[in-house]
Amino acid sequence: MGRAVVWLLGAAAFVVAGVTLSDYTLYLIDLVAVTAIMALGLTIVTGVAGQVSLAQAAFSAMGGYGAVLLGSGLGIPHWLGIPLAALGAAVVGYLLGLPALRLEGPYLALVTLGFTAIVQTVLIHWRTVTNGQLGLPVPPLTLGGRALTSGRELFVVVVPLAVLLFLAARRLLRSRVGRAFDALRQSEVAARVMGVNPVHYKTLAFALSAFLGGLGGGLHALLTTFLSPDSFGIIESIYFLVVIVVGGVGSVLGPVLGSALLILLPETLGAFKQYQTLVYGVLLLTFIVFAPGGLSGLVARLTWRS
Amino acid sequence: MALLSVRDLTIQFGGLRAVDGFSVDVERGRIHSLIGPNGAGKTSIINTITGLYPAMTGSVRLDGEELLGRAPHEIAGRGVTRTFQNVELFREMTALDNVLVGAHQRLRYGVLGATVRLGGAWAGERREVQRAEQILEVLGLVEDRDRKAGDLPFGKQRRLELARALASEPRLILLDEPGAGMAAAEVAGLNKVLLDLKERRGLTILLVDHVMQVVMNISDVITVLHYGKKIAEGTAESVRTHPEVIRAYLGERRSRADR
Repeated sequence: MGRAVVWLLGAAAFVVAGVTLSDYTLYLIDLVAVTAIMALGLTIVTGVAGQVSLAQAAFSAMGGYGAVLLGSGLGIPHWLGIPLAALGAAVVGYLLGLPALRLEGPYLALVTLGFTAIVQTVLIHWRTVTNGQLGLPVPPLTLGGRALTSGRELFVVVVPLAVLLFLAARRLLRSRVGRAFDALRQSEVAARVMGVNPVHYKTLAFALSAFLGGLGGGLHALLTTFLSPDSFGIIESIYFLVVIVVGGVGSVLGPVLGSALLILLPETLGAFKQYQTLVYGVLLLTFIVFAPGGLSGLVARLTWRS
Repeated sequence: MALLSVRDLTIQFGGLRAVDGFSVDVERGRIHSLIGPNGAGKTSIINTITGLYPAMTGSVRLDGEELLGRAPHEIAGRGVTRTFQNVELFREMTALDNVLVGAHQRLRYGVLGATVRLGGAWAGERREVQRAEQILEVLGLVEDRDRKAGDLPFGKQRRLELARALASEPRLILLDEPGAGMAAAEVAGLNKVLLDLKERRGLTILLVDHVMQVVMNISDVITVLHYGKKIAEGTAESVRTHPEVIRAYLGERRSRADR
């Protein structure tokens, strides 16, 4: 009963928003949804499983470039190409997870950082495929013979997909698999002795984060309509870290709240937009020092009191 | 045949020989205690049996199957579980979730089972939640089900660790100083729980402690370890009167222990 009401209200809000909001506002909501999907991957691998990853921008590049190249090279449409590219990213993510078995904390962060740098270098220099610094235009997603280009059209695809992915992630984190991730972060020794296979779960966490990074990256490319190596560097990887810290590390709601704040805030900054990076830095420090639970932690505290 | 059979086990860290040619047989359905002063090598033995430390030589067999060389999660899968001297709970998880991690290998579903919940995946989860609640009840933690493990008082944390270990339905449970840091009344309560587990569930327990009084009343067999070597083995009475034990262990400790 209660659950049915929530679903109905959600569906109604979705329809009302889709009809009444401006195309630009819907475009911003699309951006938040897609960024949240990519950040959700980081929440799983870093926030829950405790494996610090700075590779999320690289996985997002694989999703975007992968989908475009599958389309131009093999004629695979985006609705299939984006999930395929995401699966490809997941395989790479699994392989990147292997060093995680030997490395911890800052060392693992450095390996994933190096990985992001390598992927970006390849994007710049493999000109025959990626078109180098000139970048690649992204053809629109076509469904049923219709090209979806506006913020409103993409809203219909992107937002329900994001909702489904977040519901799936919530289920996952409340299951045996999520508990294993959580256990490895909190006490690896105890987790192993309780029967958790660290090899399996660390590589699985990396693969899942790469899948979500790739999927979100593919969808993000549809919104930006253009791919350039500049958008997939180390700064962008750190940006995802800022998103989950601001949103709340380890919370499923964190990526949504963090993405919303970091995408909508610059819109209200106006003339201050040029100081965006500075604002991110200040936000990151403020949250780490004063609200380590992030926005979701603040929300939880408020609802607790009332 | 003994459930656990340790033969000529030697554990060395650099130049330090922590355990030197140690052998022991733990019979089914017994409470077997391993005692010795601090630094005698007790915890090293437990860490090696559970796959956390490598052994230099020797063998550790569970029901005839070699455990040395296997990873900790594989050994757990064969029915060996443990608690830790310094309590290694998942502090940010609820008590219930801690116990459910103990049941990790009793569940088999993966990512698809968790998200799509097709078939029997979720039926198994519900069943394990019920079992976990029963175990919490047995250990007097039922009202702490949804509290974070790190927020529980120390005595309850120790009991929760035992609950987590029991959730795997173990054949052998290794307890590393389960009474350390607990009040006398709490130790008595714990001993009652252990005796109960042995009698009703037929659980085999290998208990490690350095205070002899803790283990005297509940142990079927006591093995005394001194500087990595076994110096005596037998019932509480025979060990207590063993001359070498008195010299090596009780001689220096009795005055303090009896105070």
